[in-house]
Amino acid sequence: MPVPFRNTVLALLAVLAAWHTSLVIAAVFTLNDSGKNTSLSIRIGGGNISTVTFNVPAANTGSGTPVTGSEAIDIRLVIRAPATAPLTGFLTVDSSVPLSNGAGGTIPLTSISWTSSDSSIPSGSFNGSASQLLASFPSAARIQATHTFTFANDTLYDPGTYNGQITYTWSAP
Amino acid sequence: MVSALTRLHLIMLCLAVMQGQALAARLDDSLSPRRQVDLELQWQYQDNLDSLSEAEFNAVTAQARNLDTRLDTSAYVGSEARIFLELPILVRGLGNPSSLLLSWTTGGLFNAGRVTPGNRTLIYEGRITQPVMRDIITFTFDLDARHLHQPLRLEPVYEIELITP
Repeated sequence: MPVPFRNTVLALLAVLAAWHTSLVIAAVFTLNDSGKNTSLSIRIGGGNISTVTFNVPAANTGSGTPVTGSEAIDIRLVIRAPATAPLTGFLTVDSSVPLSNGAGGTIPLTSISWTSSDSSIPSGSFNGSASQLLASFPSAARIQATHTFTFANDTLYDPGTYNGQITYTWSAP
Repeated sequence: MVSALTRLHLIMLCLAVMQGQALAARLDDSLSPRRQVDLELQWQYQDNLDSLSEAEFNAVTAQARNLDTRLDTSAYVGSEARIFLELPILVRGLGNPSSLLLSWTTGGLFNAGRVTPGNRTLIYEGRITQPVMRDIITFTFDLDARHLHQPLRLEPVYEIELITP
């Protein structure tokens, strides 16, 4: 009895497929990305501590005329993690301790704002809290923004030199 | 209804395909001591991250050193042949096949080379003189981490084509 044509072609193809796969014997490589390869780095300005100075002329103290800081600060963030185990980095800042003149006088850091060169870390102002969220980024990312700070100068304070410190934290919980 | 002539053409086509396949047979490498190689990917660039290009920033790599690779060529001894290393186009866990590059160095019997998924590279051309062709190969896998969705599973295949029987 003649074999139907369609069955003949299917049989030929089946033979082809079986022949093709039966000889596939090869070493298997498994490439894992277990999550050990994460990196997180932050650089604020040029060193461990960067200084911004606001010089307020005595005649203008509390006048409401903003004073721009002496230098802009470059902020660079890096977060890298495997795509199989991604991370999110959070940039926070602690501005809870006000500027102090050492004689009891203080200026809250809420009087300082900044403009940003890049919307990734947008312009804003310190809120005086210990953990103000500025931005968050999923891995992998490299962020660079330059912040130019401004002192509001809208309140009359005791004359003197006021010092303080704000701390940026870059973390991936 | 398929005409008799068309049937004949299709059968000839199938036979032609079979003949073409017969010229490129896959070699058995099961004589190689290591059948399963587990590797850990590392970032290719660790320093000066700011200055890296996006491709460099996302580049990960893994290396399998000194793999004793043995191909069963017993059926082809005395023949002139070409041997290829082929990487199947479908790589489980990889979003974009072109983001993976496999390169290798050898002890000298086979040629060093590189290949991307869906392609093959000539590693040997000449007379097959031994029933088992053996070389020590170091494989390097380079890929873009942005296209890595899960651990990769790769099965390079060795293929032989006869030049003269």
